[in-house]
Amino acid sequence: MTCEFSSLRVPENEDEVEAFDWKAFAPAAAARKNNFFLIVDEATGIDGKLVTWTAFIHGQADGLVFAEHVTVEKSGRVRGMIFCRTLTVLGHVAADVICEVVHVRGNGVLSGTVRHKSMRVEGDGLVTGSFERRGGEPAHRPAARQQA
Amino acid sequence: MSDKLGDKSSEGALFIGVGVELKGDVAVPGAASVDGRFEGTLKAKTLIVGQTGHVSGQIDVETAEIRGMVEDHLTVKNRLVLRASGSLSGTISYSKIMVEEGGSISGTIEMMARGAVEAEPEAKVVQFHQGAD
Repeated sequence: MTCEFSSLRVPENEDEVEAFDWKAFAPAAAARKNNFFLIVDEATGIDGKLVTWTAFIHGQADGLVFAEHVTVEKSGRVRGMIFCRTLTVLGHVAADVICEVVHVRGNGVLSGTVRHKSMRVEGDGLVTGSFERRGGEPAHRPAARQQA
Repeated sequence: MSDKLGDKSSEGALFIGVGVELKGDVAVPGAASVDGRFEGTLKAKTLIVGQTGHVSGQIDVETAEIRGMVEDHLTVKNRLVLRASGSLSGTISYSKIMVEEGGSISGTIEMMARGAVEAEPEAKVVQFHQGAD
């Protein structure tokens, strides 16, 4: 499989983000079929652009992480930008994040600008920064507001 | 639920029922339970916003459990729990947080220092040392 990773770019506006087709995401095609995934181990640091289907980050990534599924493990550190479908944070993330689902677990720390559709924080997770729910109005709206 | 209003009988409590609207500055020694609408400044030990509840203004509490909507400025000195039906927007400060899937957060979120027990949150977030030495 060959893939022109350099041509991949993060969608710039909400329409582009919404229109992004993860099924057509080149790294995913082969990876799904073969259950490939990427592990950045604790002793590994990446500075630049990381493009993959599923990433488990135990080490450090500075720059852009572009993947359908990203898990930042306990010892993991990500700084920069994350564009993904699902993000699970058990370690530290200081980044601009665009994703669908964010899950902060354990002692996970998430800070930055986060545009998400769904978010869950549990345990002793920390979240700081600017958070925006994508896709307009929240799914669950209190009845009082609807009546107004 | 440990923070049921019934457990707080010795402390003054405020109930704003469905359909009730209250505007103003309110200080509540115990729990404030809002199923209607509140707008203004609220200080309380515990804030409980029901699914039909809508709270806006400057809110300053020890703990909060949100099933409805809270807007503007919310400061929770201890634990903030956002349930799946809840919605928070504006500036939110907390010490501990739990968000159920489906809960909506928009705005600026800050973490307050957890006292002397925990390290500074900024230090936890910003410093990324490789530990090469």
